[in-house]
This record gives sequence, C-alpha cells and structure tokens, in this order.
Amino acid sequence: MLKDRFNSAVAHMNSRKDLKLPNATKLALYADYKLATEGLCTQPRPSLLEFEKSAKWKAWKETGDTYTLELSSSTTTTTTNATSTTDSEDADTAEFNVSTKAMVNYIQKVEEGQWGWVFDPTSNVDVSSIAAKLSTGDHDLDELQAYLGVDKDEISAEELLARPYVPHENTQFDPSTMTAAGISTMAMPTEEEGEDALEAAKSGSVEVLEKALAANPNLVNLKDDMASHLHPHSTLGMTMLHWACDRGSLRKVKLLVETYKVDVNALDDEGSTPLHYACLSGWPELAAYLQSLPAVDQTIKDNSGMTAAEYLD
Amino acid sequence: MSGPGKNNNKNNKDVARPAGNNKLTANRFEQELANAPADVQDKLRTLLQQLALGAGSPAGGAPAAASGKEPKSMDEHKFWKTQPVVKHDEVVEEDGPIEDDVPLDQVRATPYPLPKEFEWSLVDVENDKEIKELYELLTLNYVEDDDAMFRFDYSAEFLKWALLPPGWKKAWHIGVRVASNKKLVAFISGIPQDVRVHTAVKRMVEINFLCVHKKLRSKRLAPVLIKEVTRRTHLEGIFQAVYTAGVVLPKPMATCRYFHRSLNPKKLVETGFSHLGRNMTMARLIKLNKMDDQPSTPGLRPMEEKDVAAVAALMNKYSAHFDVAPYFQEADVRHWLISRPGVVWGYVIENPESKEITDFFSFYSLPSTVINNPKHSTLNAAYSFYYAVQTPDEALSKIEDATEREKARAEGIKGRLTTLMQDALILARQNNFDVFNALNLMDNALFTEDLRFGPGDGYLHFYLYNWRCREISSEKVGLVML
Repeated sequence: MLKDRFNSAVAHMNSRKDLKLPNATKLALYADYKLATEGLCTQPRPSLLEFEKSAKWKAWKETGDTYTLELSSSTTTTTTNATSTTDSEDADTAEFNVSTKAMVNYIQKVEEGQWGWVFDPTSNVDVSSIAAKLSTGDHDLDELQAYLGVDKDEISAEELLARPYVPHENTQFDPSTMTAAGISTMAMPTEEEGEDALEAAKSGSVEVLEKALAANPNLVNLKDDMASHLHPHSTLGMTMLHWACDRGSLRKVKLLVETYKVDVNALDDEGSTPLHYACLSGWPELAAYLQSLPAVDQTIKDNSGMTAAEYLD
Repeated sequence: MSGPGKNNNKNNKDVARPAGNNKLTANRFEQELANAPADVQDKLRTLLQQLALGAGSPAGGAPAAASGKEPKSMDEHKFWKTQPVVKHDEVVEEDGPIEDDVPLDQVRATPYPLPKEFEWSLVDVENDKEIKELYELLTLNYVEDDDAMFRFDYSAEFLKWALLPPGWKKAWHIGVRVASNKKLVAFISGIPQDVRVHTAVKRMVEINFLCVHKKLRSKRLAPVLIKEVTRRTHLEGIFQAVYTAGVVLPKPMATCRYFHRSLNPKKLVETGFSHLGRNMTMARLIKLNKMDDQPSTPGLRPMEEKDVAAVAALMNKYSAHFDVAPYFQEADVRHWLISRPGVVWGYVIENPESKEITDFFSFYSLPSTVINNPKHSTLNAAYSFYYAVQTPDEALSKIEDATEREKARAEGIKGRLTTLMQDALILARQNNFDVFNALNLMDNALFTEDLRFGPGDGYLHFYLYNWRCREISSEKVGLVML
C-alpha cells in the first residue's frame, strides 16, 4: 500500500519536470528516492569535480546515515529492556526501516510541496499513521500519534462538508474551539417558586389571560400588593393593565380595555398610568393605541413630574 | 434578568446561588484571617477560589464546562498529558518553565503531517480574499453549540487588528485547507507579546482563534494545529504561550467571571441575553439603566498619536500592581489603544491646566449574531480593554502592612475609576452598543456594582503553556485577551 503511494508520487514527480524546484529540494527528494529503492549508499564517492554527481552522492549517503542514526537511537530507547534481540536482527530491521522511512518522507515532501499530486482516493493508508508505526525517533510526533491513534474515520472531508451538520450529542471534550471564550450572557435572576394572580398578565399568553379572567373577572381590579422587602424591584399598585403595557402585549391590552373595561387611567404607587409604562418600555404601537382612546388622560404626570409622552424616545 | 441592581445582587448572594455562598465564606475567612501573613492569605484565597469553582453549578448560573468539574474525557487526558502544562491536581509553589527551551537544531524542521486529504496553508491576513475566508470560518464555526442564541461575529477589520500587532508573523497565521477543493477548514494563530508573570518577563506567544470546521471535528485536527503552532513558535525561539478558554483545561492560572452592564435593556431582554424577572418591569429596568447623555470628566478626549509615550508609561506603571500583565512598548500602545472605527475606542484624560495625560481607558467591539430572532440580528457588545488611573503612590509607600496598603490603594482609586468607567459606558452607548462587558480582573470589581453591572453566566480561564505559575486571583490579572 505504502509502495503504491510511493510509486504514484514518483510517477507524478517524473511527469512534473516543468517544476522549477530549488536544488536543495531536488536533492532531498533524490536521496529519499535512492534510499527507498536501493537502500543505503554503498557506492564510492565520485570525483569532487563532478559537481552534480558529488552532490547527489553526498545527499544519498548523509540522509541514509541520518535515518540510520535516528532509527537506531529510537530503537535503543524503545528496546532497552529487550535483551534477546541479536545484532543481525537489528541490522535487518534498520535496513528495512531506512527504505520505508525514506518512502514515507518522500511522500510527505511531495504532499507538503503541493505540486499537484493526488493519490487514488480508494487508498485508505494514512501517511501519518505509517510514520507513527515507524517509530521515527521524533518525540513530538510520537506524542501526537499517541493522542491521535489511528484515524478510524473513513469518511472524506469533502463528504463530511457536504452533509448537514449534526451537533455532537455527547459532551466529550473537544479542543476544536478551545480558545473560544464562549459568549457570556446575564446570569438568571433568582426567583422564588409559585405563581401570583397577576401572572397571566405578566408572562402568560393571551389565551391564559382570557381563561384566568373568565374564571374570575374580579382579577382585573387586582393590584400588586407584594411586600416590598421580598421584592425590592417591584412597584406596588400595578394593575393587570400596567403589566400588559409593560410587557408590550397589544392583544392583552385590548382584551382588558375592550372586553373587561378596566380603568385606563389607573395609577400605581409611583403615580404612573398604563400609558406611562407603554411609553417608558418603548412600545410605540401600544402607546398610539392608548392615546387613541378618548378615556385615556394623557396629561397625567407621574411622581417624577413626567407625562407619559416625555418618556417616549 | 430582574435587574442588575444592588439589591438583586444581594439577593443572589444571600439566597440561592452556590457561587454567592462561597463568596460569603470567602469574606468571613478574610475577616478572620486579616492578621495572617500575606503569603498565607494568598494560599487560602487560592484554595477558596478552587472551592468556589468546584461548587459552581448550572443552577448557579455557571455553565457546566466552567463549573470546575474536572473533565475526565480520555481525549482530553490523552492530549494534555503529553503537553507541558500544569496538571489538574498539581499545586505550584514556585514559578518556572516545565521543560527546557529546545535548541533550534532540535526543533522539527518540517510541518507535522496532516491526515492525507488536508494541507497546511498560511492565511494572508492582509489579503482581502483570505481574511474573508477566515472571517467566514470563524463566524460560522467558532462557537460549538448550534442551539446557542448568539455566535461571535468577528469583523474582518477586527481580525486584522487582532492578528497584525507589532512583530506579527505570517508563519503564525496557520490555516488548514481541504487539499482537493482548497476550502479553509481550520485555523490557529499566535501573536508575540512580552508578558510579565509575577516577577519574570518573558517573550510569549498569545494563542487565539483556534477553530476547526464543525463538520470536521471527527478529523481531530486541533491537536495537530496546537503542535504545529508550538513548533513554529519554537522556531522563533519562544517557548512560552498564554491563552484563554471558556472551558476548564489543565490548569488555569486564573479564573475570571464575566459581568455585563445593560446599555439597551429592552433589546437585551428581547434577544434573550438577559431575563426580565417576573416581578421586574421593563419600565423599571429601563429607568435603572438610564445614564447621562454626555461623559462628565473634564479633559476627556480620544487618544491621539501624540499621547502614545504618556499612555505607555501610565499603562506599565499601573500594570505593575498585577501578577500577570503584558509589557507594552510604545508600538504596542499605538496599535492596541488608538481608536479604529468599529474596532477599538481609546480615550485619555488630559489635565485641562497642566496638559498632562493623567488617565486612559479603552474598549473594543465584538458583536454577536443573534440566531433565529425575528426582531434582532446583531447584538453589539463592547468589551472593557486596558485602562489606567493615577494611584496615590507616595501615600501607599508609607503603609507597611500589605493588606492595609491594598485597601488604601482601592479606596484611593475607586472614585476616579468609577467616574471614568461611567464615561466609558456613556461613550459605548453613544456608539450604539447594547451591552458593556467586563471580567472581574484588574480593578474592575471596584466599579461593577456601583455602575450596575450584573454577573454573567460565563467564566474565562487563563492558561500558560510551559510555565508553572502560582495561582493568581482575578483582581491580580492585568492581561486582557481578545
């Protein structure tokens, strides 16, 4: 399998004589090619005057020496406890690994060089996993492989990108956006359990409000009477209409005004009318509706001396 | 929310919030141990902080990831155990490197291999086409949770500002593309920065914007990206990194909480950013958050080129108080703190008589896309950035007891700082921001309550790579990362 990829890469490079590669790159590829196909360099040194031959020989020889050294040092570190191996076995393994390592490196160079080589996608051999099995002596790479293991995901990136996104269900640690701060929002306020009689006007739907009022029409006259020490932020004396105006529900307001004929000028303990709430909370549509009602007194000032219209932005 | 006001905060602490309860415990401990030596106090504070983190829970507003539960996933364990970072169960007594610097000739010379269908590709941040590709990758993939209501929406201008500071390196803007169609599917970046940790000043790399396309998370590219940026950092002779995350990894040197000041409370409620308590009226929420239309500090004006030297001096003097802080050269000040339209706002206070620059503050813009909201598409968030005010150094130097000196320092700067940040809020409102965010780092805790910031549900953890560091409490963090 590795050999197929190697041969494919070699064939591709041979077909790309048009590439103007730097000499260092050409020599590195040459060295890996020779090591992969012929093994370590045993030829005599050419005359120093034959510049090209000499450079090629040197690359072949030195790269081979480097690989041998790297492989033997990593072998020593990983087999210090294995005493049964004989010298000859070691030599065989080293010889085998030098050519394999050269193949892997050749393929890697061709891939990294981005010279247009694409291997037949039916192959599922992953260079990086082969590199790991080779025990290259690159400590960092070993660590990385220890983490990655052998990639079992056979689905191609292109295919994955074309599929609809399905978020991962399990909360397995995913470092893929590790540096993202996450987006903080306001923490939920602490609230005691239970509902109060004005709940429907505060957070329920119109239907909930209709039902609550049908069951007990007297609710429309109810005012907030919660003890202020329990609810430091609540305003006393708010009616259902005040709440509906604050939350900006035109349908609830119409229900209260048109069906239940509530007092449109009711004052809470701050002297605010429902119209004050509609204006201050920024519901122009609602304010316009209230202002269109003849019964609504638009001149009422709250305890701060403000008319409702003065709160409109 | 039922209003970020004073009483509500008290409610939170007193009744149902585990995090708040721990704060009380911490306060009582601090009172009882007021006479203990400073180093003993520091240790206890660190312990208390860990307790507070451990007790956080979703009910207390802390997301599970930030609650301090040690992540036990094998993946996390397998990757991080190979990395030079402090272990979860390790308590650092002395600062220093975890592994030695790597000599240049021993740094791996070639990029780490990627799975075969991917290729490395540096992103040219100065190229409009490529910055747009990066912008799209981050905007669509930087937040994992598809159910989230918000998603960071970094602008191209913001990314240029963040990635091209003085000394930036193209080799550290690392992209990964699909080999066949060249689509940009992953990214990680580093920028150089001098950082002081306790007494040591180190040239570090700030790692940010690590992002893998969400459909390709199974390809596990992130560890390769982390290794690759580390390799490229080593090639430049830098061996320490600093980064922040919303998740708990091994092991935070500091943990800060987000606080939010509503500038446009109605929009925040409508987008689900904050919550209107049952007994809270919109009208009152709006009234509570009303501010003056204009800033009030005499001599306040946008920072200019001519202020750079003075601001750099102010900044480094002020930062000396913190246990971790960047060391800004004048070039850094020029880049990070002079206003750029839509990206960062920098202001100075010039004494009207002496013309001396006495203080400065800054904030930056990081909007979020509001997902699936019929009324709003973008949430405009301003983030508090660097600032400095005058400290009464001479008076402080006469106080021998460290705790007393800290207290006097806080009292000495609180009023001025609160006034300046009030102006920052007003300027942010003028610039159409909906919310002003600040972590509880630097001296922010001195003004957040008075200026009606409410606690957030997010935490930010600070990390160092290859540097052991005694834990740092949030108010001793002087580093702000984008």
